[in-house]
Amino acid sequence: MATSGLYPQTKVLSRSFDVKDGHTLAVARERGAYQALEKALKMTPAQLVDEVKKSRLRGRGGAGFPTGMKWSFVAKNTGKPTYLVLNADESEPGTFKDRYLMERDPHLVLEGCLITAWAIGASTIFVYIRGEYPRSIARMEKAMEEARAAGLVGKDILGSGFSCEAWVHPGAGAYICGEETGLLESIEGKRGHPRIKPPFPAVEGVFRCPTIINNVETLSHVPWIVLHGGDAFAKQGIAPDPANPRSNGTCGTKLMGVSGQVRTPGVWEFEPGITLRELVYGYGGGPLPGRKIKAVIPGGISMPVLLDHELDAKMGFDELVKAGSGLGTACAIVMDDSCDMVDASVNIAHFFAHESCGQCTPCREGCHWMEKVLHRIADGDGQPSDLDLLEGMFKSIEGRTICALADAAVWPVRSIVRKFRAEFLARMQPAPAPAGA
Amino acid sequence: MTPPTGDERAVTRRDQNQAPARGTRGAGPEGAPPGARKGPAAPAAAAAPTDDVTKVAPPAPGATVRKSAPAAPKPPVPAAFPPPELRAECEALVARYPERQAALIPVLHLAQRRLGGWISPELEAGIAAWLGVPDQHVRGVLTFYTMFNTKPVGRHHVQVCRTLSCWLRGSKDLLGAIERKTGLRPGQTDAERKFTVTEVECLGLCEVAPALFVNDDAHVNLTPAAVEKLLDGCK
Repeated sequence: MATSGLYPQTKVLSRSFDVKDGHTLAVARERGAYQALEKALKMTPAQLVDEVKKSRLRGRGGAGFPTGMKWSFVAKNTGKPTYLVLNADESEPGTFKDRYLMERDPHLVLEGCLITAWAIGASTIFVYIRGEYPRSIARMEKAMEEARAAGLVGKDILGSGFSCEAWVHPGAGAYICGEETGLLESIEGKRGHPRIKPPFPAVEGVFRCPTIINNVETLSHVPWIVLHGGDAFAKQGIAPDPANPRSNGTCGTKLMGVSGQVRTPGVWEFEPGITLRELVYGYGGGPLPGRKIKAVIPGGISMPVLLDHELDAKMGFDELVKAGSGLGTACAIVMDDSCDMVDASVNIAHFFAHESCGQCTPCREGCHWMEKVLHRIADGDGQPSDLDLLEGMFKSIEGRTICALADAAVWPVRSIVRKFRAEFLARMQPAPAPAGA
Repeated sequence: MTPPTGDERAVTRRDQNQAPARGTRGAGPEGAPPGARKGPAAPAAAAAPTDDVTKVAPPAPGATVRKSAPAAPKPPVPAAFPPPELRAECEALVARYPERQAALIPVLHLAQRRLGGWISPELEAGIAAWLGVPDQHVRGVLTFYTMFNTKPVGRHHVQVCRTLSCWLRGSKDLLGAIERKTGLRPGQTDAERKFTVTEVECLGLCEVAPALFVNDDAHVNLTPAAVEKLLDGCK
């Protein structure tokens, strides 16, 4: 495919992805790392929070909460230390963008963390990386070591009087620890059971102290915002919808990925405005030879599927919600016409049944039950009434639990059951003949 | 002394359940639950079996029937932890956190990697004692996180991703190749403890699917033939 017709890439976060030894401090500094930190330490924390508010930066972990607003919630003058936790538990299936950042530009990630720590008044940073990312863990630890030796982490950073420590805390294989309060429990050395909110982490987080938790990609944007200003960031991407006062747009740049049944899976960075179709067909290379695209989940595994004719929605927070799905992590999973949607739904339901933490009954029981019914259909033992049974389950699971894992289990499965009903019915037994016939 | 009947005991229990919480309206000093819990109920329950022994009456509906308890498993002898070669690293991990318990997951990782590939009951008890947390807490954490092995694993722990992106690119075929080569299905370890095969959820290697880990090393863009070759290379 000719590259000239493609939506243009904008490499901000990904500018060092292909640079040799870009993960080392020497190369990173040559490329401008820690200049933003120097500038930020001369600003006041309040100025920084304002700048990030102006930028309209929204959380890149999936929920899209405005970052500056989150920072402003941090409880002050509590007499307790404040913590910054970097959520690098990228356990959402189909998502690998944060791994690229941590492996290829760990100093950008660390710089973003240090600026944020200064802005919120934190003196300790915990970077919670999933255990399945041994290289990310090694690269981040090495980056911290190098930065510590260069006076960028630890006591009196760059002579500013600001002191901050940074540590990696490894996870150990639990999807639920990507949920922010589950993650906090995990740092405290417990099972990753999400907490009831409120109190929100900004008031009472890890070790019962005020805590801000942000995604890797979110904080990697902060150095650019410090150097170029919040307004410049807000000008990029999709502006907020003026007709909707609650809209925050999708500003700045965004890492987007494609995986599954496409020719060239990968991750790229754009100013939002690219459509899902341009992403999947243009950058993802389109379907494998001789195949057609059947369904796409736009972000991770936890969003509803979109059909081929629904792919013209832009990759933005509000735009994909309008299209009946969600941006999620902006890493799309593509299924082609060789994919059996009944089997795909079993695969998805199994994931959530396995990863449910077991705390809330609707999720613990519901996800397993959902998987069993789908399995029964896949085995050819289903009845048409099973589809009604599933609909009933969706209602009793969604929105009835402490965290959003249960919702995330329902959304993709429900959309598959509804959009591919014929495939489910075709797998079922013919109705039993009435007695005496 | 009249032995209490089952009915009386039931009343006692109901009263406990209905007693309003401390501090709520209607809870006088006498009606507070703490006294009710330890007061009459305990000696009554203790007295009941001795007096009823000769009657062999059927238990009252809802009463708990006591069977002789199965022999409790022997608690493991805690291993000496940390061993001298890990002491400095373990102390450094604990020093990062304001609470010792917070070092549990990093310490378990370290112990598993350096002390035989799995967390034995003895090691588990040793870590619990050293961190000053209950054994049960460590057990809870061990069983919650899938990366901790509570059984011995082979020298080569093959972890195959089964989640959507890898599944779409043929992770099932990889498992087939592994079974042909080693005779092992997910969850199994061979007798020589050369291989353990595990099916795992998303490894975050979706753009280079299908993928698997052998111990800490990622292998990506695999085909069944490539997996067979990979396993041949494992000594």
